[in-house]
Amino acid sequence: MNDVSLVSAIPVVLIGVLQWLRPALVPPTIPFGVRVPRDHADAPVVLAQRRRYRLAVAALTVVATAAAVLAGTPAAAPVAVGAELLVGVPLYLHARARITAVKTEERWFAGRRQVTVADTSLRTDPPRYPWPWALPAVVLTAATVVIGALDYSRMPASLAVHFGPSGRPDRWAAKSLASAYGPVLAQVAATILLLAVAGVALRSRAQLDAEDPQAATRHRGFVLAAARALLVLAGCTSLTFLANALDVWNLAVPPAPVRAALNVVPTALGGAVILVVIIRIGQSGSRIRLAGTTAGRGTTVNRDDDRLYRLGLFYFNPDDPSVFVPKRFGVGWTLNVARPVTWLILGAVVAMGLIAPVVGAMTR
Amino acid sequence: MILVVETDSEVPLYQQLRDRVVEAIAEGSLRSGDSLPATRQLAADLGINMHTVNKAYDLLRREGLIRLGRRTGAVVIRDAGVGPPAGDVAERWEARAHTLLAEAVAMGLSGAEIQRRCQAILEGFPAGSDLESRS
Repeated sequence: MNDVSLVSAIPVVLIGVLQWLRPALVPPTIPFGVRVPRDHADAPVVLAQRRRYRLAVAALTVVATAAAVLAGTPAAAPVAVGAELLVGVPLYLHARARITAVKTEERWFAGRRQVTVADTSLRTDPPRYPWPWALPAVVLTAATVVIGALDYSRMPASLAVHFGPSGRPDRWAAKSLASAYGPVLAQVAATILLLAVAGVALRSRAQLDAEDPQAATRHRGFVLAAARALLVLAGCTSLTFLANALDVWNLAVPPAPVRAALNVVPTALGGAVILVVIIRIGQSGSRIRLAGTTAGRGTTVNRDDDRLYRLGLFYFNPDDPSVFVPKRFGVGWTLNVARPVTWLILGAVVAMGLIAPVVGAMTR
Repeated sequence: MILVVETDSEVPLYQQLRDRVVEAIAEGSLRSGDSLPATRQLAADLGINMHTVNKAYDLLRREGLIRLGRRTGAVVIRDAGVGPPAGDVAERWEARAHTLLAEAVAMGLSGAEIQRRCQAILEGFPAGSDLESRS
């Protein structure tokens, strides 16, 4: 056991806590990915499965954290996180199957009018893009470009392109446009991508709870918070890129404490922002506190759309033009696997994963 | 405007969409000049096929209630304040009301009962409640 393994255990604990919280982060009418009428949201089977799931997740987290700390190597942490996520799936599926069985047997949807709801004002008067939040990312990216362009001649003939765990450079490359500006291109691409994703999140599909009169307000709050979080994340990413670029160019060597802070602050800030959104806002804004929220007990309920989420995980609906749809169990989005565009996106991600090492080797 | 559709209803989805828009215009929650969502957006929000929304919008266009523009999208052009109906709108509406009222009579509803219910519905529409002044 040492400091390194204690620090690397943080993500293991964090993932465990998030998995434990998960049942409380989703809309009340979708416990464990099962669509239920609002007046069955606290049915005995739902409460029992929530208790059981949380007990199992708590035990899983303790075991995974202990293993990660005791292993004594930083490499153990990703393995422990992977194991947590992997074991979490059957725990979820078990709870889902139990609730589905009771729902089917007791015919919770019998005699109910099943509807889908849209609020056209979300489209005709859409939430505005939060441009001020994009400012840090844009300014930091622009700063990197300007510094790189002005100071190219001042850079040393040999650039450090890889840094060891201690922060000392351990691989070098001759100064060229590719080795000097490769990271800048990556930064520009990452910033543009994150700014675009924030826009997509803002306009993403509104899956409104028909039994919640304030569902549209919740959706607005959710997409706006998600877009802002993504822009903060873009700022953090840009700061990391800028710090690394200054290292590579050997232009400004900040004092050791500043350099250490530059390594930790963006990651910590980005993580904190995401946590706040997940816990304070919840999936589709389900956790936003609104005055006068009344639970419906009417005959009109949400359409039972369980069959669209295959295995409770994969959304498959060829009729639906949406590519990004709300995740069934968790906060965020998943892909509509019935759309060809989805496979193009997945293909592009895989291709990027395959190409990146090749490009890296070529610029070396 | 809140759009509610029943996915497992006997009434086709496009017909439901068209009916809800007509009702929203009568209720005053949609007015002449208001925009409707783009076809793709509305289909995505409801998780239904784009052709279904297209069909509903096309129906509304042929009925003279909305205009479809490449740039502007779907815009409402007709409400109670625009003026008296054009052409044979009244006659065609009466033919359908004839069937609807016939249903009520055939099922045994009294004339007074039918009138009372029709009156209550009309009073739900801002422009439909001034019966005396128009007749």
